[in-house]
Amino acid sequence: MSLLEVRDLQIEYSSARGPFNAVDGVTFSLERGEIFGLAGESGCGKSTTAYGIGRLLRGSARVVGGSIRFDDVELTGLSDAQFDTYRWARISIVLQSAMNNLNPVMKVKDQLTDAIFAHRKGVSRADALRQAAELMELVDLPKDRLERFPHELSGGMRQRVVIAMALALRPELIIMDEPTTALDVITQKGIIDKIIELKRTFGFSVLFITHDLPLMLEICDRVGVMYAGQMAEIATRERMLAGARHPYTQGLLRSFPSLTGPRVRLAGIPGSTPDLVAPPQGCRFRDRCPHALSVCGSEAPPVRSEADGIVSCHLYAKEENRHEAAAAGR
Amino acid sequence: MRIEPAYAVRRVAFAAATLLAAIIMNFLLPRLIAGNPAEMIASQTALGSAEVADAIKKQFGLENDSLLYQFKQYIVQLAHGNLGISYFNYPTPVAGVLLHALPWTLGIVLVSTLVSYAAGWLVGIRGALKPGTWFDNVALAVSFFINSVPYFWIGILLILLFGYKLDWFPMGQAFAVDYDTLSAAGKLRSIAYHAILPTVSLAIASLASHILVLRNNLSRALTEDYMVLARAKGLSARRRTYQYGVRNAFLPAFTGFMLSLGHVVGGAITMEIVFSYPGIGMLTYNAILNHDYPLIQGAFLMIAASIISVNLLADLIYPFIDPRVNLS
Amino acid sequence: MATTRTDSRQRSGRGKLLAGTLILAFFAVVTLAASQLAPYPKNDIDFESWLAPSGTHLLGTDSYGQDVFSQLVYGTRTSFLVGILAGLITTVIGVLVGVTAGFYRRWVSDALMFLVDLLLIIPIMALMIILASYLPSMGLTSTILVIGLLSWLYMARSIRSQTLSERQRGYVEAARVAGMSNVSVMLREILPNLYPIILANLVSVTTQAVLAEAGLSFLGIGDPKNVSWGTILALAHANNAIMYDAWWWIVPPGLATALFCFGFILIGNGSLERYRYKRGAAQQL
Repeated sequence: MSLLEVRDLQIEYSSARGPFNAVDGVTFSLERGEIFGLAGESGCGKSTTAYGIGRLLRGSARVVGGSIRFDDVELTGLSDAQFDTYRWARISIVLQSAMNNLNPVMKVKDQLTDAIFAHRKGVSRADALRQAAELMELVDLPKDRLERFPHELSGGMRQRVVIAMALALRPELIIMDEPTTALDVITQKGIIDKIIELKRTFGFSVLFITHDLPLMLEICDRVGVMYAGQMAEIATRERMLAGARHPYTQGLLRSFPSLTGPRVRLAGIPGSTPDLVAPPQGCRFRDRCPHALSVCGSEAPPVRSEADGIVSCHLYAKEENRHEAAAAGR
Repeated sequence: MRIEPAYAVRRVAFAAATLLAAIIMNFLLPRLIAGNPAEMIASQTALGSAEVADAIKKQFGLENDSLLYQFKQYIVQLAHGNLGISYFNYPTPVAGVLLHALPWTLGIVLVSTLVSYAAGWLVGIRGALKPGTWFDNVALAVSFFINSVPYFWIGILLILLFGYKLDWFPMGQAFAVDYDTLSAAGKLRSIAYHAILPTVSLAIASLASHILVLRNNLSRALTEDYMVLARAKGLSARRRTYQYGVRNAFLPAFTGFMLSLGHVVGGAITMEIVFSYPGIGMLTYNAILNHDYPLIQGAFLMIAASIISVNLLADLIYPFIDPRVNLS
Repeated sequence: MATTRTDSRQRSGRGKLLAGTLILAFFAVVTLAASQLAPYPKNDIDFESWLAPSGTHLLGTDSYGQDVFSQLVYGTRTSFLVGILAGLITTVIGVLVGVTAGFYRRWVSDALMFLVDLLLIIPIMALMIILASYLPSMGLTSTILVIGLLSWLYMARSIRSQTLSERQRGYVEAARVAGMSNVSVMLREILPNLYPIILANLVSVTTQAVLAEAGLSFLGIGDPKNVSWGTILALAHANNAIMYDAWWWIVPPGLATALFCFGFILIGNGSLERYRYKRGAAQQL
């Protein structure tokens, strides 16, 4: 049984022009000890999905449909009080590196220990401090930083603190939302290596969100590519490296230059994402797809399972479709 | 948490420089306006006595034409606590007059400031936590209304309602007419009784901005990333609200609070007039009308010194509540 | 299913703007057509004193026998003009000083802020009183100038901090690299982004100006010839209107001030809501 099973998740926002589903029927599962990536461009719904799972949605966002099963328990059915027992102890989060991702007026040690105090009743101050010191060691930070305030640490150090914090209660799932995006590449590599090492030690699963596809391929075992609120493709790392299935994923992979391969002209994906308040009929990627067929404009693409992933594209629904695309010479 | 010495030194230096500038300004004021400082500070006609006038002239070096000498004398006298003699309150020296009025001002202005801030902050916090509720909307509407009317109008209205119509409170003065005949307890009661309406008026009049500031600050703080983190940790609502939210929202409000405290000594001119309350505000106002220059100068200097020292205190306290400030 | 909060925000923004403009327009009309609108000429003291409101005297009469309603109408002119004009002067100075101090760092900024801090030390009201008492006669212009020239301090500080943070944004650097002159950058790049805070401050200083004028008039400083809402209150207080239970003399000037300021606040809030809406409803997320 998977650690996390998301089925047909729908999350609705309200906007000036009416409500829309930022996440519109997303399905995927996450195994124990796996690093699963959610990729896609801005606004595709990857962060919303993650926050929806962690019950951290802000503003007008609401889960309006679908199921989220964690360790075979339906999370959407839990009350706030019940869900609070899952918070941090079983599901924790690492946010993007930012000036204010840590509370500016609290010392590092207090931010490490307050989760411990909240969930482990009766733990002594001394014990909690000891645990905090251990956490700092896990992320290779000197213990004297415990007495410091967040603004006294560099961006990389702060992220390490955030990661240490996320491990405080040894959760089973850590959601990481763009954890290295605002850092320089050297620091980034250090953090990524540390995450992989910690995962090996403690065996937690990671839901890793980023728009940086090459980074994702470095760290993730499997990747789910989202587009316009829906899951376009889920594939293993090997599948991705061998050449993805969905035209959108292929376009994404082409947008990132390779350091070692031959020089190619960078191709972006022309056009822009569809309006989610009034999404188009059929496939949402149709207008930007180099292989669009006539059926793409009228019918939503079915989800097809393969050995190493799933893909939601008409090209893979029927043999004839692939012939049609090839014949069109595109 | 310790203060960086460089920061402390800079703040103290700034306070000293400002105080010096205030003293110089105060020194120059009568000379700039009327041209004849002797007339302003030691007027024989106003004081009604040639000997006293001459004594003062000597004290403040007014016979000597040198501005520098006069300034030196001014500082010397200042160090001795001699601010001259008030014309209108002759023979009471200025310092005496000020000290006499000070307790009344501290009584109503200080108390109302503290009450106003405390109440305003609590309302503002509640409004930010539950925006759009009837509590929040009513609080906002009332705040905007209060901010749109003159202070003294609120005072007058309260007197009309509670003093005249309902006869619950006296309509002015600091104590009853038969004060001198009362026992010690009776005196205290009389003072307290007379202080209620002015204090309440002042508190209400300034309530609005405190509500608004904290409400806005907290609303903004609640959108920060660390609030998401706090929620993700499953921390109690109370801890999230106060340790993470209010603790951060409070910071900008603190400087405003200290600034208000500094201004307390200046009294509340219009309110004191409305209530015929013998505070520093009323004193300064009458001094200006009576051309009582020594008193004007003295009051100004006292107010300036109070503001500067409270501001310095605020600057020195601030690093303890906002750890980020130390390093600037 | 979910409420469309941003949608209603846009509508309420427009509504507020409209309501506020209507209120201000109303006062502008009263200002211009005061003599036509007032039932009785200014300073007409032919009536019996202390009359309660009635058909002939909508707001009764005061202790001098003047019609309070007419006083209120004529007083609108002073309060309105002082509020708007002093508010404008304050805003212009505040923005100039604030943006300059925020843009040019180091000694210009420090010097300006030192000056501002120094002037802030002196209670504004007291300074206004002193200045006012030294001027031979406080005409309408002097009142406007005194209030306008002394109230810009807080606004300058507020604009300065906003400019400081704007200055670090990428677009400023981009503009300078593109060769724009400093003045150009300040005017064409930074200033438009300061719109919300300038607007908030404009509303604040205008309402403060009206209240300051009321305060000065109440204290007997200010134009003795002109009637304003503040002078009405001053006379009411001086003549013990409370003792005579003459609420019609006391309450209306305050309400008029409240309505005027309210109009301004509506305009300010409405503008801000529409500005924020245009700038991106997605911010909600």
